[in-house]
Amino acid sequence: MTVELVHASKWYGNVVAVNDVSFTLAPGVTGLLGPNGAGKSTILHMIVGLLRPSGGVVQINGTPVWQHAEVYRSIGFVPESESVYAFLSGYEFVLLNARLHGLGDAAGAAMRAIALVELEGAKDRPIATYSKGMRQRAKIAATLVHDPGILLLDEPFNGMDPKQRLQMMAVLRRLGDDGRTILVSSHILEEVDRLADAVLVILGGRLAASGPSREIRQLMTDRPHTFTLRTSDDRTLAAALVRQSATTSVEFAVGGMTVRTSDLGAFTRALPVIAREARVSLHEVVPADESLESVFSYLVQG
Amino acid sequence: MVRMSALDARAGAIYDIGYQHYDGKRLGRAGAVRALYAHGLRTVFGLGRGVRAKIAPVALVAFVIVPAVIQAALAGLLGGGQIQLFTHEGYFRTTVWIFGLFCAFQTPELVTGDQQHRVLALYFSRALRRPDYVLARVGALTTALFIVGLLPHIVLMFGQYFSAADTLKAMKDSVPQLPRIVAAALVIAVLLSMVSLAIASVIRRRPFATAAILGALMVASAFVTPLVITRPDKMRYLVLASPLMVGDGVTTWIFDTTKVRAPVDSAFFAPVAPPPAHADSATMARHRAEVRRRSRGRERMTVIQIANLPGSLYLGTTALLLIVSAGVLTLRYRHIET
Amino acid sequence: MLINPIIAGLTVRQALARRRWIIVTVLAALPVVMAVLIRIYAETDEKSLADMASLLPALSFTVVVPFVALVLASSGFGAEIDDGTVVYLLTKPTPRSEIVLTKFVVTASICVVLTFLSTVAAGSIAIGGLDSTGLVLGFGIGAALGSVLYTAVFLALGLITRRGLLVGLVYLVVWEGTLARLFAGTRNLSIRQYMLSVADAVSSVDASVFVAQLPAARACWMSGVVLFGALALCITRLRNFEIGQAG
Repeated sequence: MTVELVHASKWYGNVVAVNDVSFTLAPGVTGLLGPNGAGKSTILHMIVGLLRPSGGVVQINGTPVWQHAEVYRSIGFVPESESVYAFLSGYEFVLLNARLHGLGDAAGAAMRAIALVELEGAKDRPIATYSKGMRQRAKIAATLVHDPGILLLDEPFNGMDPKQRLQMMAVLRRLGDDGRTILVSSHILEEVDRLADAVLVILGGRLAASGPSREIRQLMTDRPHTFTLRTSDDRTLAAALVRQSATTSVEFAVGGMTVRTSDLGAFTRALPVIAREARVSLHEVVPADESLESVFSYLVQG
Repeated sequence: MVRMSALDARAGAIYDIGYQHYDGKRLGRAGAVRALYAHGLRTVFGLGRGVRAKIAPVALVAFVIVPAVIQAALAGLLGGGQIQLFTHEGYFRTTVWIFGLFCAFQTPELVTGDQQHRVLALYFSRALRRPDYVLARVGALTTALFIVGLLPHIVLMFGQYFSAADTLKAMKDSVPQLPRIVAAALVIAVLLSMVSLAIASVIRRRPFATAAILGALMVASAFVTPLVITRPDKMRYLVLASPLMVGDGVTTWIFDTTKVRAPVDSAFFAPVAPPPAHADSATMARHRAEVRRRSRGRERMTVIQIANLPGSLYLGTTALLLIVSAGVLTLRYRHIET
Repeated sequence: MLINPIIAGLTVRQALARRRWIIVTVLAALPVVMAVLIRIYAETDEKSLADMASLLPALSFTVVVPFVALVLASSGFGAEIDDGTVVYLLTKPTPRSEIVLTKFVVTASICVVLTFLSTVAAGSIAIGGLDSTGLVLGFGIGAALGSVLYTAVFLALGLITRRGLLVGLVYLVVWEGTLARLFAGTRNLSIRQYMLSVADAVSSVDASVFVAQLPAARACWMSGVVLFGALALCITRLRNFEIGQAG
């Protein structure tokens, strides 16, 4: 079960939502990471055939998804929007999806899916009475009911409390280990880090980074860091820092000095030692670019 | 005794992060109502909202004025007073469905939009009270409908002036019409705005509110009109069940109190006495002729005339509709969904 | 398979949700109420036929049939697309044509049953029994035809634009109400006229009582064209359906 995007793009008039994205999904769990508005939902909708690619190719097992209804037998999609058929009960909703797929034993499959997401207790109540987290679980059950080889989830952990989140992650991990291809989108680094084997980073519609999540994390920590320092004697400290191999540049400004370093670990270990040896007091050490956006923008440039 | 440590003091501080204070004058409730009113008035005409929002109001206002323009043009070409296609008192009747469409399309933009986009909680957490909101919305729609209702009459009048042989005399002659025109436009504006606001305020989504307003108006007219025409003696009071008919009645009465009544006496509307059981063919023929005469006579009258009710009754019904609508609006905004 | 029983069941449940069936039942009851009122104040039997011939189309055809179809068809696609639940329907191996046809058949059937019963009941009550000219039956069949056509048209409009409902209303009031009365050409494209033609064709009543303005053959042709066109439009739009941006 492979999902393949080759130079896929999506634009609306002048606005480009997805810009020349190419990747292939392997079995296991892959995370689609990016800030809000980066194009994650657009990519997911293109893979599921709810949006037509303006350019490039989106294929599943070699067949384009757009206008090929048969493909849906092997895909499951959990949308982000909260709306479900409110007048149905959780069980009825999952059953409906099972029957729409034409499953022989729809009732059995529905019960299994409900058990998988641990919704047996509330399965006969109308979905309108569910909490946010329960609704998410009902949606995931409905998507799993036909045992798809490919699973796509758009921000599935929204509204779940930590315990539910851990349970759901365990479920997804198990499914990934079984050999299914799973794509989970999120804007929270920690979620993706814990869950996914591989990560695709999307920023501004473009693929900014891809690879095993550990390597991406390394790349992101190994990037140049910037610190703003306020000390008792800037110039003396600067002279000592310049001798340090981890320092790449030192700049003086009115409020303090700005130091750039290429090796965060070495720098942070060396700074207090150097400062003490030079007899300079450190009043303030502020990292200047720790936000996710700056991480991403570094990735886009790099 | 607990001493405030430096940590506690720091934890309780407010940091100046450059947030701008507003030290100017605060306008309070009155200002809020005025602002909402002005905003509502602009919304009704689609001002400040892009081209799409202007299509409906502009088109409908144009259609409202078209008959008056035609009348004025004809009067100009053929000399004043000769052709009277569209009169003041009949004007509402001519353009009644355009008013209906205007209300149906624009009222939801005013009220249902707020409900749909969940903005009500935002409004009511300001200086605005519930009755203020209702007042501002009613005011905006009424003003808009008043303007729309007034425009064609002004066009008609100017048409008369410029086509008359003696313009100044025509102007002087039309002075008694002016208060009537204003009163009629005002009554229509208030009536239609209150009724459509009451309907639109209870519907969740804008297209459905449009359908509901239009449906209510159409159903009322379609139900009432045929019954009144064919059974005028018993069904006349049914005319009061249709807001558009009531509006027609009030405007007709304001302009010309005689036109509200039928030009024949009330015996005309009584059922024709059926011929005796073994009547000869001449009596039967006479009976059929009488039935035909009456129905043809009815075809020449307006529905209001067939109903043959006193004008004050229309005014009273208008007041009743206003009270009911006000009640609906007040109760509806007691509880808002967030 | 042309009709999907699961989608059919879902559509029925959606169409008969609380508010909807109340509105639709009230609308369908109005002609009956009117007929009862006519009956109570009846004069002679001969006049009733002419009365009914002018009254029923005025209320049933002009208002009840289109609005019942509108209310039911709006539950067909409009609501689902609006709140996003259409995704569950579209990400299934069901062909889009099957989805459209199922929704259409179910919605139109409910509409036909309601309006046919309403019209026939109203007509029979107004006359005070069954009539030999078949006018009541004619009106009933006309109402059924109108239900089918209006349902198809409103389903299509709901899929085409977000403001689909509004366009449908404008069509009802402006096109069928005003223009069709003024210009003979527009009558060829008016569902109301098709209904009247069919009623005239089915019944054998005298022209002085009731006559339609459109010849029956043309009405049938045009009805077919309208129906086919509307359904084809629905299927095409659904095949090319792209999910909208949030909000």
